[in-house]
Amino acid sequence: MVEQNKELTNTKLTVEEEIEYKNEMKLQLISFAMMIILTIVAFAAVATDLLNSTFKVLLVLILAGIQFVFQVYVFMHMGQKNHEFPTIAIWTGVVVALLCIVACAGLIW
Amino acid sequence: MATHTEKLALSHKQRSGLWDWLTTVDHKKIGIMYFVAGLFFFIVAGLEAILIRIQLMFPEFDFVSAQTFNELVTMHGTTMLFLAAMPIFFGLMNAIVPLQIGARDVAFPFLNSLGFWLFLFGGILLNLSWFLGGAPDAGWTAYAPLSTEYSASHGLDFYALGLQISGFGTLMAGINFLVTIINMRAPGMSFMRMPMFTWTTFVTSALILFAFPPLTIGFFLLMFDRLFGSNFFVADAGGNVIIWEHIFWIFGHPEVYILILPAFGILSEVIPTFAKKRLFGYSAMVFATALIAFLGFMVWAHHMFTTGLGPIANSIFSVATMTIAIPTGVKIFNWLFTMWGGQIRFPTANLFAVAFIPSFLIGGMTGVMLSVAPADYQYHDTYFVVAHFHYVILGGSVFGIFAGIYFWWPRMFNKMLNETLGKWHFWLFFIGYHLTFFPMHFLGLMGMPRRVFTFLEGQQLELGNFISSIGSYLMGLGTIVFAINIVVSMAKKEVAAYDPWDGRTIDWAIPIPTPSYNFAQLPLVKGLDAFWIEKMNGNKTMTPAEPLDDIHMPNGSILPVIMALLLSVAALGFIYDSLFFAIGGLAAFFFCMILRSVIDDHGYYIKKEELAPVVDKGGKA
Amino acid sequence: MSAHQSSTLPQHPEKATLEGRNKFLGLWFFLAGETALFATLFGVYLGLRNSNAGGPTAQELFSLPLVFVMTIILLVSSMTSVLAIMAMRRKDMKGLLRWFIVTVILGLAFLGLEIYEFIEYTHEGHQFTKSAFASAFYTLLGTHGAHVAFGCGWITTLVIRNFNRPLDTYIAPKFYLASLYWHFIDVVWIFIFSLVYLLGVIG
Repeated sequence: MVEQNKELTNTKLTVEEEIEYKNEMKLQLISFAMMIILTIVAFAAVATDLLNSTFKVLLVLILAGIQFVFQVYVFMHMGQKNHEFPTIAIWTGVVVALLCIVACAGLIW
Repeated sequence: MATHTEKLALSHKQRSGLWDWLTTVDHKKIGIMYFVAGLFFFIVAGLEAILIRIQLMFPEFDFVSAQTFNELVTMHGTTMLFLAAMPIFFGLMNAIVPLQIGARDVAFPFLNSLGFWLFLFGGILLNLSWFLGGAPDAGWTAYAPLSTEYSASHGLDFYALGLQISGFGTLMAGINFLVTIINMRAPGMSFMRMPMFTWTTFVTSALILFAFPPLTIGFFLLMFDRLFGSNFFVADAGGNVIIWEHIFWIFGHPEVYILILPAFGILSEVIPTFAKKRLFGYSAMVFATALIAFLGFMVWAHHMFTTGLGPIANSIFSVATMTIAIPTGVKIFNWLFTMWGGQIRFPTANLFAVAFIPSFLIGGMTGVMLSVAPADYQYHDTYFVVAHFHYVILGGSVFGIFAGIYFWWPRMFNKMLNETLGKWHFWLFFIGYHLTFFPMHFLGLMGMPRRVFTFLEGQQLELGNFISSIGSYLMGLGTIVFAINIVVSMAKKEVAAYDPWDGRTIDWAIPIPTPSYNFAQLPLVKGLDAFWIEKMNGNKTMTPAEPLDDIHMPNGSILPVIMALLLSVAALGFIYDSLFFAIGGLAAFFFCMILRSVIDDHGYYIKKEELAPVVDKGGKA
Repeated sequence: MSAHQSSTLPQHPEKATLEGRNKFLGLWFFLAGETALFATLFGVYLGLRNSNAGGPTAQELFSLPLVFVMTIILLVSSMTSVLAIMAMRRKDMKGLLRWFIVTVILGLAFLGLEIYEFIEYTHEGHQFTKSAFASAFYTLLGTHGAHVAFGCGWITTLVIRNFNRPLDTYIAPKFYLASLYWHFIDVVWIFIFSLVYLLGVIG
């Protein structure tokens, strides 16, 4: 089949597209705000002395994990439709990543 | 008024000769180039092996010096794995997988070409070391600090940089096959209707995607320690050499599955075809492939049992390694059950395929022996290990490669290989293989270490080594016969017949010679072994899934050759301390990437009137 | 068929062609491979982070305020690349270009601060060739920085090349891929500021 490159000369969105756009924008902005907050909390937790070391480490790791989910699922749209293979690929990457980190950081002496 | 998006080239100048091959992005031609280059390196590495075996034929023989021996051993392993076996498999995958899924090319034809040329230039760069002060000599595994602090010549710089460049090519090929198989299957071809060779290509590509990045980092760390004075592996500055082993084997173990899964896929095509019986347990075979790949990532430290990881880590990796035998065993049984009750014929392709089964099995068995961590303290770094991996690689990958070559030769080269010469090739090689590697089990158990350039008299190692060397000469003879077969067959004028093996999959449903666009009309796939289904319904060809129409084809480009050359020049700049060539080469490489991005390349069309006549229902073109 | 005639314009122009869909999947797989790549670097860093061989330690070196500023800059740049793609959804080519330009400026600012930071550290004795910790630190951060620089170059090339072209299904995938790549390097930075700097300061 011949696929022509379609020029987007029609600049008006349909009503459904407008609604979808507004919802999407809200989601993105809220996620951004969350990520800023998570970042501030992480830095604040370390900079102050309210928690002991172990808790600080755990908190930082958890906050990083949550930010990761926001970036990947919202900013990168992995939470939307037709992202099955990207999802499998990234999570497999995460598993391999954990193996590498456990090996190089943990199985040495 | 045509906008920029409509400036699609309507025709193109037919490129010819050398320029065509240098600029091609056609998966069939790229497949042939991978294949030819891989065969060339196979012969180079085979010669290195013969030289090794001559040196070890007699105790305290001085055929080559110890230094040269170390270089031979290193280059034999490195070349065979990275520059022979993998590229030959890529050649077969490139040539065959798009045809098997009913596609006209791979997802990224330009990237396909770039991947090939990067592999080739990387391989040439590595082998330049022979002429430029000595080849790498720290084994194919290049353990630190032997490879960093105790290796004076540039050999290991060529190793790190040459393989790095080749590795980029491999990664590109892996991503290409993944996307092609997911996005470009013909209508009706669901995942569970794909041929097994396509499935194994898919899983192998996933292994490549995740195994090569750690290797990339490993090579960068090696390069930085050697060239820029970093301290990753310098104990005095806090470095840790175990990290090298982890990184290398996190790559290295999946690598051996990258080397065997395509062979499994070939077996699953060849055996059913020549037994005239469908593959037994297709779903189990698919699942087993995926399981082997997954487990393959969990076992790397079985190469490190004796380093001191401790009993808990050793036990975990030991048990994990043993479990891989289960899905592998499922595959072996399923091939046997496929043959049971079939009408088996034995052209050379099937000789190699059937010989694979007991040979690979022996290798797998010694693998389970090795997986027992306490026992491995006895086997580690002896010839027992050498026997094991040669049994699985030759009995597995190489026999699979030869089976695939004889099977798909008419598809790729439009001729048949000679069967008489094929049988001579098989028997010389098969007998030679067992003669070479079976004694090594006992040599290892008797204490002969690996990577030693000689051995002393009076330790009962003479007979085993002597027989082993004779076996290797037989393999060499077999390979010569194979080379003769290729020359003889290509010199013949006769074109192979349509569907010479009475095939089951749609890659056989295309006329020979293969048209440049593969399918005049994409086929409609009605089930597993789609071509066989059509045959059982009385058709000699596939039902088309679309009307005849203009076919869109990608343009060729000389950029991949130039880019690979530039990266190699940059590598030489780093090795010989020339900032101009190092930075200049890299900058020019990135400039080529910019060129590729900014220059619109929409391909061209083959008009439907130009399409070759389709094979009619009677099987005639 | 001329593009001037109104045709149904795809809502997701980056996925409207086979080439677009192939590129989409190809980049995601590439990012999955990069996950393994950076993980290896993280592993090496975490294994060697206490091997400072007499040189300065993480706690002595790291300046949290600077890193915080860099983090916010990169996070904002990730948001501006989202806004660029949202402009694409509105079929607003000028908006897309504008937001991507802002993204690159922020990226360059990030790089500038990082280079300044590295120069400061080398003056304090934290040098690539001095200890395994330093080698690992600079390699991890340097690889990330190189990826940021590559991303800036990529987006700049796309912006310049397509400055006067209308948005269509050929160009859309190119910008979409660049934005995905840009998000990914922010993902890596999340783990860098957490595992390198914050963990380094905790001890």
